[in-house]
Amino acid sequence: MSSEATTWQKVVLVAVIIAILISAGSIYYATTIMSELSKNTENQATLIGTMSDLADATADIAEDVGTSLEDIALIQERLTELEKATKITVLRFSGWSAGPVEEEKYRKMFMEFMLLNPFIRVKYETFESHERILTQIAAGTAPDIFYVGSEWAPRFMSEGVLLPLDGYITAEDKADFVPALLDAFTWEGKLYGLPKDFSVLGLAYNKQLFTAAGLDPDKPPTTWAELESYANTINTTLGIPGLVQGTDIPRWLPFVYQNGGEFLTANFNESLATDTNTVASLNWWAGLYGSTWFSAADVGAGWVGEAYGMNKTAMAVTGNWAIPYIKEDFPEVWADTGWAVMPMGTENATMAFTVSLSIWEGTENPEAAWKLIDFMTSYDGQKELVVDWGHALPSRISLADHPDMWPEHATFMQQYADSHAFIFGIYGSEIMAAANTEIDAALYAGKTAADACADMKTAIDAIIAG
Amino acid sequence: MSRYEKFKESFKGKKLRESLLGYAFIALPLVIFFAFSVGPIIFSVIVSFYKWGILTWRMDFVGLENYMKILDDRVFIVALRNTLLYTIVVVPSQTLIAMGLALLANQKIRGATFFKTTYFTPAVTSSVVISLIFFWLYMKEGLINYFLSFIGIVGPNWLFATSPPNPNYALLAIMMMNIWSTSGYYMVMFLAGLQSIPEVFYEAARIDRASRWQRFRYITLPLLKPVTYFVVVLSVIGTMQIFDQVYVMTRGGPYYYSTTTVIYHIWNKAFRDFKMGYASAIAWVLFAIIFVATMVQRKLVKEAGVLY
Amino acid sequence: MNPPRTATKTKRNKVTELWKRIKRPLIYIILIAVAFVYFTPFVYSILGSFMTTREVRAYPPTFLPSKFITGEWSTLLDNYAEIWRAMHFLRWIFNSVFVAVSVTIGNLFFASLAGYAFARLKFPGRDKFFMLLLGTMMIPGAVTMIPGYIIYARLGWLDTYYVLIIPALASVFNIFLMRQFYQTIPEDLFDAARMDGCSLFGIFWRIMLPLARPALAALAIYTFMGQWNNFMGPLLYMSDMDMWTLPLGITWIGRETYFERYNIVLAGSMFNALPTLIVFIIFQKYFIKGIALTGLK
Repeated sequence: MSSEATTWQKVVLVAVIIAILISAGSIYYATTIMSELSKNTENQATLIGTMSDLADATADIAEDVGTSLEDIALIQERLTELEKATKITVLRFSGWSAGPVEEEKYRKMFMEFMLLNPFIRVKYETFESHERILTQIAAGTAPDIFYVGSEWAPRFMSEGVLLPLDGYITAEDKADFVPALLDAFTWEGKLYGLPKDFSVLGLAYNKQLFTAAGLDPDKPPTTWAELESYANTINTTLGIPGLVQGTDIPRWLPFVYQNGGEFLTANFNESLATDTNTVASLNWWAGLYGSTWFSAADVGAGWVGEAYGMNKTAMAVTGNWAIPYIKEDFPEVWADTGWAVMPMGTENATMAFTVSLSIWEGTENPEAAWKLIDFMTSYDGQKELVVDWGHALPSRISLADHPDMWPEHATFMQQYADSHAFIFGIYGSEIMAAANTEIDAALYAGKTAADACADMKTAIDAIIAG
Repeated sequence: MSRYEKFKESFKGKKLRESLLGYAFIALPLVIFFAFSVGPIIFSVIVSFYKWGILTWRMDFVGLENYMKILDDRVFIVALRNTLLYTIVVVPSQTLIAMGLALLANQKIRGATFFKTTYFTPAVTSSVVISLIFFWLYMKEGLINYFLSFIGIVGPNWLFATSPPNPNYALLAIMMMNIWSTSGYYMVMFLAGLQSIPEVFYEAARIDRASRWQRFRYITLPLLKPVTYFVVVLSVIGTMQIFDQVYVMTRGGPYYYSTTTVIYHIWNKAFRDFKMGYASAIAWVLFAIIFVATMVQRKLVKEAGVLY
Repeated sequence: MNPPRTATKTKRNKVTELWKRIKRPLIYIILIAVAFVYFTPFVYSILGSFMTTREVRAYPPTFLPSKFITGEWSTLLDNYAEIWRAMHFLRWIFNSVFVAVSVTIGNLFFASLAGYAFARLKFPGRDKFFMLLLGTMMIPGAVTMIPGYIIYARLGWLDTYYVLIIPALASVFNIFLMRQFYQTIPEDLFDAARMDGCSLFGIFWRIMLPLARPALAALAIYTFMGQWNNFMGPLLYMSDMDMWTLPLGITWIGRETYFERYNIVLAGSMFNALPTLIVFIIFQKYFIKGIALTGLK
């Protein structure tokens, strides 16, 4: 009996401790929220105060000076406008987070925006992956602004859940954006989002390893033939894989376009995987796997950038996102790295990955929302968010040769005119999955390119047919 | 009294109070249960006959089309194969290991509590944490391959080696990890079962000069049958529904869906491809399979004469 | 005794004696070997949570973080500090604690009420209801996953605490547990209390509830643990990262952000695992009792 009592006491003790921890935690959390809130209300209160003081002062002056009836009416009008403007608009901005550093940058941007627009408040919500924005749209509680990846865009646009932006943007402004990116967010002639930045695939190569293999460190490969031969040379002379690449559809597609091939028709309703040039590109690309190039997993790394940083390979086809990654995490390799555009085939092409800022069709504050996305994709906005930070490329052509851009990014940016957006129509995710299945078969199971492409076409056409 | 009269009786006087109190006690759970279990179940059946893309509320009636499509779905076949393979390997292994551990730990040895605690620890840890830990251990240059190198085996890149040409290492890795993490849980059940076998049986057997093996075979095993049955049923239901580990460690990969399970496939169909109706149909097919499996087990056990 | 019998008896004695001698050490060896397999991942992870980024991915693997050897204790908690400061981490812990505690307290109350009602109170349809409840335990979660999601979307409960707490208050498993327990309490006790003029509710509150302490303890522990480790619920219903619970958060950290910096991932995992481990070690008696209660039908 007594031992039961003491265990019972233990239970109570632990419960009390937990309760204290929770209360501490909630108090801490509540106070941080409270202080945030009170700061904001204070700011707004002072702003409102200033505005109404101004209004009063104007009215007084008008009285003293003995203004005419019309002038008083004008002043009345202005006062009503001011009254309306003192309604605080809250915008919900939703994007996925690439880590605490990026979130900090965004918060700073929102602060700047809020200072410039005192009656708009921005609430920053982060979510993890794209599918989940659907839940909010379905429930009718979608945020005012959210990210839309290019591969998801068609579905959103076709279902009419995004607000068309043509009424807000000027033609002149529109012309400053990289056309391929704008196309990704255009549906039936209307624009549904502004690309906030983009990334392309390019080549990273280790100059030191080049020299060791007898290659010229200042001459990265620029053609398919050079890529193949350089990689083979490194394989034989140094005994490490000369080239590491990703193995899914966005890694193969650039080569399709570079060979003059196509993947889908322009309106996404038929697969063109059996086009001769397309098949040929798969034949070349998949054929060299395992002998000339390898995957990141083959060398024990989690992704291509890591494989390159760990010095497991001399060349890597990767995106500009790898640039700051190598710089931070692998400084010794960074010092030896050269960055170049992708080797090109008969045509120039690369893959562009982009995300737009779009406005929810059911938003209550379309003008305020437009102001925010305009701000964030503006010349200055992108300069700060994208160019300075160096994790992506700006979507404005006018920023292409900005002096503050990292030289490595500038190299990658050169390819903007040749980039193809990563987009597959309404059934994007299924089409990608079907394509990846066949690519895997070609790479690992020895399926011939012709068969793989034929099966790909059958599968994709079936998906499109519904 | 007839049933109807009994029913009416239960509403009279004191009995009425008791009935009302009974209902009051179960009110909240029952309401929640109907709203969030029964409701969704019925809704799920209905939705499986429609096409619904979730972005808008437009639902198109398609009748049995979703169910017919399942037969043509190559990925579903692979997922089903993976899930069945997983169940067939994990359930017996887990049960045998759990039983073995229970037998060992039941001996009167010092530190039995320590061992029991250690074996049970993985079961109280979140499957997510275990997946993350093992993701690290299973790396090509990780601890597990390091230990394997001691016995001269070059460990594969467990979670990323594409199969073919390799065997399905990723699925094997997840199997081993799961056996490791849940056998402790079932061990405790076996322990309880073992401890409920009255000593007198063993004493009588010893007097009859039965060998250890005979004691085990004719006393322990039969008397453990109810627990074994319980463990097996629970394991089957559990293994047919694994999701967490796949989501955290492999996302269904590495090649051609080598670790995609039926639940993961449902997830993909619903939340990646926006085919809610189709996903619901698959879920019901899965239910049918589990139901049949459980019924078959029941029948087998009844025929073997276990008290149930 | 016939001579042949004595002869075989001696031989058998020798074998059994040998067996008796090695039996104990053999059992110990097996148990220890198996224990090694079971705790190595945990111990190694704890060590890993203190390593540097290079050390944690090194091969051959590092076993002792260098700071243990060099005694650089000032950097000991660096990984933990970094996770702690990471944007949402504190919020995730708060969410996990809040949800787990709320559900546990709710279940303690409602499950014992319902369990008692199903066990000892008589009301029409009692047993049929119970069978229905039990039956749903067999239905795979996947079936209710999607329509549940739709219902919560319609109710506006997504990205709120309601979706995680309220449905969890009706845990069939817990009601089942309490019912089993109350069935083991003899009816005479119940009848005696009735005869003493105690009201039905009074019986419950003053007698049955205190009696159920061990079962309640087991229930509380299991419910808390189950909620703390719940992954699929938050994954499905929470898209706002501020509303995530800890398991979801560290998965994201592991796969997306700190993929290469596994030492941080391990530190985060320890945050999730240690509370349950500690609770377990203190209350392991109740854990085991709890399982036994459900296992024996």
